[in-house]
Amino acid sequence: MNNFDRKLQFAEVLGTWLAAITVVIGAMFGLYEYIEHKENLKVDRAFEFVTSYQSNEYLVKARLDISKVMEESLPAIYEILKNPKLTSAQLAEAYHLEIMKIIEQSKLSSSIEQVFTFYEQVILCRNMALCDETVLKNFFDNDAGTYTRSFYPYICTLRKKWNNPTVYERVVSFYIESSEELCLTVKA
Amino acid sequence: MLKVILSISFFACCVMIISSCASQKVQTNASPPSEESKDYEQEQERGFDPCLVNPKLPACKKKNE
Repeated sequence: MNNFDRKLQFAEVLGTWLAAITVVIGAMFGLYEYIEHKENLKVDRAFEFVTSYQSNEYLVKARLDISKVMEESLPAIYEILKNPKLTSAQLAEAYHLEIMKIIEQSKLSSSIEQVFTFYEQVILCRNMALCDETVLKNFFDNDAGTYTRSFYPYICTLRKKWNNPTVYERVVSFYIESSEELCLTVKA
Repeated sequence: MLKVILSISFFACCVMIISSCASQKVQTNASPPSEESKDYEQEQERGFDPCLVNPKLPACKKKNE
């Protein structure tokens, strides 16, 4: 084997190695791009929910109706919540009755159901890992949490009325820590 | 032969660097629009939470409480 042959062989081995390294780097890069594409898809899906939340006319109207009624009813609600004479059970019952009175008088049932159904879909997307967790958390957790804690008497009433303890289960178990005992005090 | 492989490797490296830069830019663009964030912050301030007023409500109880 002369010097030229040796150089040729070396070049071939080096070429094979370089090709192999290029393929491995290419594959890693492809995998990285695929993972990133999946993450971007999740962000896009989450933002579809955000867009719907901010611009779907039925949903926006439902939220505005709820906010308006709640703003008008806040003095009465505060009166119950800040009453130091009420025990926990009395407080729960008084709050339940007040919220149900507000909902019935203002015909808020459909608005509340629309909003809770939307939150359920958001949680479903989150649980199935199809949507970006951070986007949904930042855009919905505050609203959905306060709505659930404010209107839980309505959920309890629906559960009792329909004899179905799983009504809005996703929202309740996601935003209320002691969700199993939530409706135990409900009489109405 | 070696020259061809080296050229391909160099080209692949260039494509990877450019793609990485582009994807970084896409990710930056994917962050929430400032107007929406503003709305969200305003909504956060508006929200009423009964648990902040009286944590004795059943919906405010922690587990095993």
